[in-house]
Amino acid sequence: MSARRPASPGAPEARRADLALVVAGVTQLTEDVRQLTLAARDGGPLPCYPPGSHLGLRWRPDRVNSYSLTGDGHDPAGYTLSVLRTRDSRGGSAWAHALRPGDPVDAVAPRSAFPVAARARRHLLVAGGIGITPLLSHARWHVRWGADFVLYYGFQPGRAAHLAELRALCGGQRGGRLRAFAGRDALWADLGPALARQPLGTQLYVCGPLPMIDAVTAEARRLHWAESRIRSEAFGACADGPRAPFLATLATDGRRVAVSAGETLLEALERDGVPVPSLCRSGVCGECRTPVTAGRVDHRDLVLSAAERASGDWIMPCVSRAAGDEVELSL
Amino acid sequence: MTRTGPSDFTGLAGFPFPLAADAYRYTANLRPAGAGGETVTRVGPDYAELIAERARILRADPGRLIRDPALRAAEWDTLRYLMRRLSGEYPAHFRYAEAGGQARWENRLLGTAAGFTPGDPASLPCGPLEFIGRQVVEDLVLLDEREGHLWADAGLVTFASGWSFPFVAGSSFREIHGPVPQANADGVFARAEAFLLRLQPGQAYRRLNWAFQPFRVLDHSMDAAASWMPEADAFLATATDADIAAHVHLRVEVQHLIRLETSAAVLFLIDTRFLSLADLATVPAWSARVVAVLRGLPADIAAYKGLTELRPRIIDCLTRQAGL
Amino acid sequence: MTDAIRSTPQGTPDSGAWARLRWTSVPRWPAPALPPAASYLACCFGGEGERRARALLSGAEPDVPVRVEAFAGRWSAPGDPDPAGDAQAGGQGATDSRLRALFDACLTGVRVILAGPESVVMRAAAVAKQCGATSEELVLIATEAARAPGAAEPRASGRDGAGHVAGRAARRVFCAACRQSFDTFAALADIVTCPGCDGRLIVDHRFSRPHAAYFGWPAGPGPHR
Repeated sequence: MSARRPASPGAPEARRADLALVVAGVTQLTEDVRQLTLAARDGGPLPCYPPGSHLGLRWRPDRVNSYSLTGDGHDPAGYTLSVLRTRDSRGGSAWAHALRPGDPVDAVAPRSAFPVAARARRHLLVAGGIGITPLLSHARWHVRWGADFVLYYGFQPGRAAHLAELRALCGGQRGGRLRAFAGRDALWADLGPALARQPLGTQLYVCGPLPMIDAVTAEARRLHWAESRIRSEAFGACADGPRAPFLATLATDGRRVAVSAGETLLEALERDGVPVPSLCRSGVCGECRTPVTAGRVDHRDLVLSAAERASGDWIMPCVSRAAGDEVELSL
Repeated sequence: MTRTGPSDFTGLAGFPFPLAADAYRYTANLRPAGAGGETVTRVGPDYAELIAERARILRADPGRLIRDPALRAAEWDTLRYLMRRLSGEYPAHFRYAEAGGQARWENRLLGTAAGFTPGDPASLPCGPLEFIGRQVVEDLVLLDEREGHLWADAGLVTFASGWSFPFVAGSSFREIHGPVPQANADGVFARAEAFLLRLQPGQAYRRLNWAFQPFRVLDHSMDAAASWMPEADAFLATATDADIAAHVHLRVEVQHLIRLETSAAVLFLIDTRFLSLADLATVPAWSARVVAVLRGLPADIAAYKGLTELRPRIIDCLTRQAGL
Repeated sequence: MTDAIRSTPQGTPDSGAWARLRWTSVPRWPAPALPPAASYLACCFGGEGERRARALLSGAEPDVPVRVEAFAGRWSAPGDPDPAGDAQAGGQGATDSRLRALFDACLTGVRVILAGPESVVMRAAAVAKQCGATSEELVLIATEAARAPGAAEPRASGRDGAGHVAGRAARRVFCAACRQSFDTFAALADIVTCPGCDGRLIVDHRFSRPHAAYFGWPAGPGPHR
């Protein structure tokens, strides 16, 4: 009996590192948020994905911006993303907002970094602004599988992307699973007490602007939610801090790479011809994770857990730096 | 019970010989699935026999199938993954199609066909894991990620070797692999788990495990110990050189680790293969490699692998038979 | 997964091969510390368990609610006397039912203290996990491990201070042939007899937390090699 490589489309081999997509549709959801629907350029099926996954759009040969997929991932006919127009320094969202149906788009296959906790008895989803996108994907999943969930959605008045869709999905504002609030204060008035009275076994998921994530997770920690119960996904680039020059030593051959104040560790390594895989180059995807063998690290990424940071075993060179003068990498 | 049939119907050419070097270390030895042109699933001339053996074991002991309500989505994910794999890798024997929320599956080897609604338990005669598990030769274990670790919460295992799936079900990856000599000191299993946690949906890796056992017994689980252990003990105590040559088998597990695409659970597939010592002796390169590895095996790893008594006998047998 | 025909190490617990193995699945008992919490629930099995739990809780912040529930020192199986009427019809006995009712009423932010003999505490921990608790939310205290050094067996041992319960102690052993666990009083590597099938089993160092039991490795008819 002979076997050959799978030919059926949609088989796992069909998943390649880069997907050739095309813009199939564009919808303006709010003043600042535009929804893109992307299909396979060859008209074929797209890889499935777990809820909370993100899709990296290669908007320049060396730049990938990731956006959460809002669908539920089962046999998607298209990938739907909602992009917030921001005044970010590198222009990725402006590029996304300029896309028209028929435009080709190269993308990195969906990556899962914000999954559902399968065993949780209840799922408490908290979304701020554009942070609704991965949680919309989660909500679809929970509706499909009949899980117990509640979704808190805070937004600026007049800027509630996906609100009607959510109301239909979550069964109405009162008594249903959606609790939507215009404005931060209104959200807190309801969410604050709710955080204090969830049953044991509830999982918390937070997505939105960094200050909002910090506030909600800090409150959860103040209420002694176990660390493993709290999951969050941060959007946008990490806050950058002061940059001092330092030395990076490569453990394999002792080579020393000088990192100046004007460049990241990743840029310095690349400049010196040291290959390090990278994707987002902004500390959110985890692709450039590099083992550290000596020296303390100034962590500036959004990937490593508290335990991983404390161990000192890892660094994300695209944003993080040496805490002192020197760091040694297992490269 | 004392089966001495041919090693493997596919012959020696297709046999997954597990030893790549003369010095053996307990490593994770993971590499991407399909790197050597292999398929993830295996359907050989022994397919019907193995499917029937699995059915026989499940009839006698349904507890070898363990489900978990929290992993419902992962069960459906597994069913779909394997149906697509089988139909893609063996299109002459299996067909799988989906359209408009309905699916159709044909297994021409078993002569069965089924139409069902993915996600709807009422549309299948049994749970999805059991439905597809009864149509593959591999053991299946589903691992859920939580608290920063992997947990073996569900599965269908009829061909375990030296362990009991019902005993370890619900335990974490670390707890299951805990008592391995040297490996934990080296952090091998911690790194293996970290690797698995970084797997992205759709990625698949492969590794090989090996052991020697006195007879060609598939269900070598601790659940069935009463059926094979007394004979194995008696054999080890009384075997002549001729017995060793005639009955000892190399047991290889071809394992695949897959991060499933929608549930993000990790699916562990284990395909068990046998090579008799007699057939092994006919391949000088393999014989020499086995002898070298066994000679160099540290005592505690040999003990862990149950080779304390067998090791010198196998070395002796192979050196004589292969003229080494 | 183990890949051994027979991987029970040779010799006694402190001999060479055994000592070299790292027992990551045998329960270890570091000195318990009280984590901060929004509330505490202590389930105490026996007087010693209650004494240890209250001692630990004495360090709690004053405004944090504390609930102490006293249980008998032994697990109440289905059919056992049930004066308080805790057992649910068709359930796993009074202890199991009472624990589930307590856990189901807990909120996030709780830390659950389980104190008593190791075999009972591990069973209670398994129930807690079924009810949704994570390891982080449980504080486990095995009263055998609490005795002072030099006291009579059983005692905890281990260089890193997080010892296991050594020597003869109340242990639950899993018989793979019966697929059931039974209570016995034995040390690791001792041979015990399964009441279900009369099989001779070695109390193995592999421990399953969901079963809350040590694996009973078939010993065979003769003296164990």
